Amino acid sequence: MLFERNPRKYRRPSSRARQRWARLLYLACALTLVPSLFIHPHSEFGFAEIPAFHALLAFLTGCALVLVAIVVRRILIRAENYYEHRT
Amino acid sequence: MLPVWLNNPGMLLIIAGCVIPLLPYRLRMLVLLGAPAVSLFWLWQIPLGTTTQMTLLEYTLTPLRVDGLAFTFGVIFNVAAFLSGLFMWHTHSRLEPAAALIYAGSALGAVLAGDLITLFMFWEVTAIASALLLVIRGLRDAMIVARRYLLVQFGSGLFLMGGAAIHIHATGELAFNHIGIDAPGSWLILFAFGIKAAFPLLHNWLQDAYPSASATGTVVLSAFTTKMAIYALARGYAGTDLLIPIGAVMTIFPIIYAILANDLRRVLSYSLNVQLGFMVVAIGIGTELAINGAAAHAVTHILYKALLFMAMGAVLRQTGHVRATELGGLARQMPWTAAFCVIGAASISAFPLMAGFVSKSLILAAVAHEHLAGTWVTLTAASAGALLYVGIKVPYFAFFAPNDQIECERPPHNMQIAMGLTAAACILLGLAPGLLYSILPYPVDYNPYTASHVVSQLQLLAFAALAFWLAWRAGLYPLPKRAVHLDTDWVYRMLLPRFGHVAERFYRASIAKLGGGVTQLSAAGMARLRLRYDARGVMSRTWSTGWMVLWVAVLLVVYLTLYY
Repeated sequence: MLFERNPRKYRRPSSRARQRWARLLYLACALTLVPSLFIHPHSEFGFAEIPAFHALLAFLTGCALVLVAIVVRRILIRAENYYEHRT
Repeated sequence: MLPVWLNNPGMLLIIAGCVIPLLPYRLRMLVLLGAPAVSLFWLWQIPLGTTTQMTLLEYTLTPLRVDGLAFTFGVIFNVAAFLSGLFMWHTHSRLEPAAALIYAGSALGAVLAGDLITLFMFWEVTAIASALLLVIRGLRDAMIVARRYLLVQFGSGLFLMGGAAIHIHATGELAFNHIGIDAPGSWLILFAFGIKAAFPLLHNWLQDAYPSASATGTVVLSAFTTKMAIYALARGYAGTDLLIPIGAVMTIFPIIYAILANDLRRVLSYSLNVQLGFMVVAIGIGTELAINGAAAHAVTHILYKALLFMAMGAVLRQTGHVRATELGGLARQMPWTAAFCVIGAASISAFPLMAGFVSKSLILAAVAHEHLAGTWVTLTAASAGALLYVGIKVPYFAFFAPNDQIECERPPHNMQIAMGLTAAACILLGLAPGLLYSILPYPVDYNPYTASHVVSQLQLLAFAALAFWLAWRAGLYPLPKRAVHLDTDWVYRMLLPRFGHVAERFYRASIAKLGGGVTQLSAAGMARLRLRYDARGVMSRTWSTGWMVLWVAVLLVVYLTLYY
C-alpha cells in the first residue's frame, strides 16, 4: 500500500543532521583512541598489544567486507524471479 | 507418580502443544504462556546430576539427564518458548501455538535426552513441528520451502539414525556422551549435527526457510533447531579440532551474503549463521572456558536474535513488507519497535553493557587462551563485521532510511511487551553478567569489564562504523537490490533439477530408441515366423505323399554320402 507523504509521521533527514551524526562518529572514533595512550592492552598475542590495533583491524575489515561484497555481487546476482517456476 | 517417559519438562510442553488446539482462546493463551513457565520451574527444581532410566525392548533408555550443559540450554529454551508465546499472543490460529509448543518441547527433550535413541526421536519431532510452522502460513512459496526444509531436516535425522545405529552396534553404548571423530559412526552423527548447526555448504536451508515463515513463526524457528545442534555438538564433539576451522569459516562467509541480502529476515538468518560459527569454534576448543562461552553465547544469541526477528516480525505484520528496498521511515510510526531493534542490534554487535558483549568475550578469551592467533583475528574481525551487516543495516533500512511511502499503526501490545522483555533481558545480562555466568555448565572466573577490553571493543565498533560511513559516502556500500544472490541452495534448486531434466530426457530418448529397436526386431521376427508357420507358411503346408517320399529319399542320400 502506498500513501501520500505524511509530515506528522515522517521527516526526511536533513543534510545538516547527517553532518552532525558524521561529526559525532569522528569524535567517537577519536575518543576511543585516547584511552589506548594510557591503558596498556593485555593480550595473549603481541600484535594485539599495538595501540589502536582493534581500530585498525575493524577499519580494514569493514573496507575489505564492502569491497568483497561488491565483487561477489557481480558474480552471484540474478533476477528476483530467478527461481520462480523452477522449484 | 508419572511414568518415566513422561517425567520430563520437554514432554510437558509437547502434551500442552497437543492439547492447545482443542481449547478456547483465553485458555489456549494461558497454556501457551503457562506451560513454559511451569516447565522452567520444574527444570529448576531438578537437582543437577539427575537421570531417569526406562527399558524399551532390549534397550535401557535415559529420557532425562540434567547436568550443567543440559540445564543451561533447558533454561534458555523455556525462556524462549515463553517470550515467543507472548509474541504470538494475539494470533487466533490454533495450530501455530500448538506447533510452537511441540517444537519447543521436543528441542527441550533432545537437550535433556541421555541416550542416542531418545535424542533421535526428539530430533525428528523438532523437524516435523518446525516444518508445521512454515506450512501454517499457507502461502504457496512457504509450502515449497517447507518441503525443501523437511527434506533437509529428515536427511539430518537419517544420518543421525545411521550413525547412532553403527555406534550402538559397535560399542554397545547407548548413552549420549562425548563421541569424538574416531568412534564408530561418529562421522555420520557429526554430519547430522552439522546440517542442523548450518555448517558451511550445509547452511542454506536456514536462509531459505526462516524468511518464509510467518511474522511470529520465525521468532520460534530462530531459537531452537540450531541451538539444539550446538548443544549436541558440545555434548558429543567438544575439543574436536576440526570444528575450529569450520566455525571460523562460518563466522566470515555469511557476512558477505548478509551485506547483500534485501530481505531483512534473510539478513538476520545469515547473521545467525555467523553467530553459530562463534559457538562452533568454542566447541572445537573444548576447554571449560570455551564450552562456557559456547553455552553463554547460545543463551544471549537466542535472546537478541529473537528480539531482532520480533522487531522484523512486527514490521512485517504492520506494513506487509520486510525487504529493505520497500522499508524505511518507520521510526516515528513504531518508536518502541525501533528502540527495541536498536537494542537487539547493539547486543549482536557486542556493545559493552549488552548481552552479546559478555558472551562473545568468553569465546574470544578461550581462543586467546589457546594461542590460536589466526582464529582470534578472524573472530574479532567477524565481531567488527557484525556492526556492518546487521548492527547498522537492519535498524537503518527498516526504521531510519528515507521512505515516506509507508504508513502503519503500532504493533499489538503483546508484541511490544514481548520485545520489551527480551530487550530488558539483553540489557540485564549485559549489566549483570554474573546472572548469565551462574547458569553456565562450569564455574566461571572471568570479568569482561576490564578497561582494556572495553576500550578495545569500543575501538572495534567505532572504526567499523567509520568504515561503513566512508564506504556509504563514497557510494561503495552495496545497497539492497530486488535480486537473488546465488547460494548453495542453487545446487538443489537449479543444478540438480537440471540434471534431473537432462537425465529424464536421456532416459526417455533411450527408451524410445531401445523400444523402437525391440519393436522392429520383434516385428521382423514375427513376420519371418508367420512366413513359415502361419496357415499358408512353408512349414504349415499340407505336402503330398509323393513330395514327402522324395524329400525323405534326398535326406537319406545326403546322410549316406556324409557317412561314407
